[in-house]
Amino acid sequence: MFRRVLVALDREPAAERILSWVRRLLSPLRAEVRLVAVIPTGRAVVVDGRAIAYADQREDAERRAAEFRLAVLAARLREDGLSASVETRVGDPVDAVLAGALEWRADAIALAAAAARGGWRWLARDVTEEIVRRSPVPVLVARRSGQRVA
Amino acid sequence: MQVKMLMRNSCGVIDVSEPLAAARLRLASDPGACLVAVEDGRLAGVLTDADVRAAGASSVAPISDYEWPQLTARLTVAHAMRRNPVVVGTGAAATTVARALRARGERVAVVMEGVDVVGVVHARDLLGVLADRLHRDGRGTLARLLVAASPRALARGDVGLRTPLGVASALARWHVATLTVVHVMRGLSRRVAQGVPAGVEGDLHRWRRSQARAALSRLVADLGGVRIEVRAGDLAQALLDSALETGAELLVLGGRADARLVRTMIRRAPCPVLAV
Repeated sequence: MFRRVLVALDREPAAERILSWVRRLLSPLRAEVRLVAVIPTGRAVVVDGRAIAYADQREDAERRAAEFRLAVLAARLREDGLSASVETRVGDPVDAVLAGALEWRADAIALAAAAARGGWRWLARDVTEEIVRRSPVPVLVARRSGQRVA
Repeated sequence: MQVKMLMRNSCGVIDVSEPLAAARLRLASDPGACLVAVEDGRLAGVLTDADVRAAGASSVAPISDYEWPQLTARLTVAHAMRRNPVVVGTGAAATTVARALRARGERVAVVMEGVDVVGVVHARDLLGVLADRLHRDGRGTLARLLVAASPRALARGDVGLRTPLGVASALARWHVATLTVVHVMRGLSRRVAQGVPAGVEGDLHRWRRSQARAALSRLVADLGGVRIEVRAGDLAQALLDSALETGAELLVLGGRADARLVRTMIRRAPCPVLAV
């Protein structure tokens, strides 16, 4: 139980708050953590009929930025004795997180629920609730604000 | 931790011949930042906000009044910068940098890769890492867990590994934490309540409470060191009260198919929720 925990993160630094809880929860165990960032499907930017950025270009840029950020977080987890890996996925956040958990055979999913909805914030509350409802494994949910810190 | 994990990549570079006023403007836009001073393309020193302040007009008003503005206006970066800065590679350990800064009485180390400046590490960055470490060391494990025992769990009477109680007891064992099992009794249905004679309702309540407590005791008999709590009333409010009173650090819940309770707890609980 809880040998493999998949941590879902979005672009907001507040989402990283879940990591301190994951660290505490798994501190007595020899656990593996996988940090997963889900990138929304890219859209081309077209101005006056001319494409100035293609969907795959935007996705690549987002993927590189996410991978860099996840690598830093994973390094910190490794220093705490946890085995950490990173993964970026493109697509619907709920489906991507659940598919990631299934493929990696995660024992649990961890994420930080957003306090309020935001247009560009993919891990808003409805997404959290959908993951909780559909997940085949236990889900650890911390709030991004208004809750005790780890 | 290696320096490359905590250095600031966006350090500014300024030539030593630039006016100090220009450096002051650049530093003012980014509090806590520093500038790397170069001379003929080679590292010459570092300039922080404190260095600029030390080289500028006196902060004491009477002295400042008699200083020649022309003189201070002629100051360049070379006059104020700290020469011979602490230089480290990207692979250096944070502890090495901290020791070097302490030994030299400096605030900033320049991170270089070959002859290229790739970033800086400020003493504040190291303090941040130290604060994180102290925080983690001080609160390594969970101390108090709360798990909600459903009527179904009481009726079934087993503590499977996949049940909320099973998960919570395993976690409590690993963390050597205090586990509180709370069961919330729902009120009598209106039809039953209307049929109960006056005065009997209190007796019925006490009887139900003792029955629930006995069932809980049987359920957790093998777990050891478990606190039992039986509450009555609104399920969500009772769980929130219990979490607050016990100072729970993790609330373990079941019933994800009926997500209403889990949703309420995620929104209102004072601690994270583990939905099993």
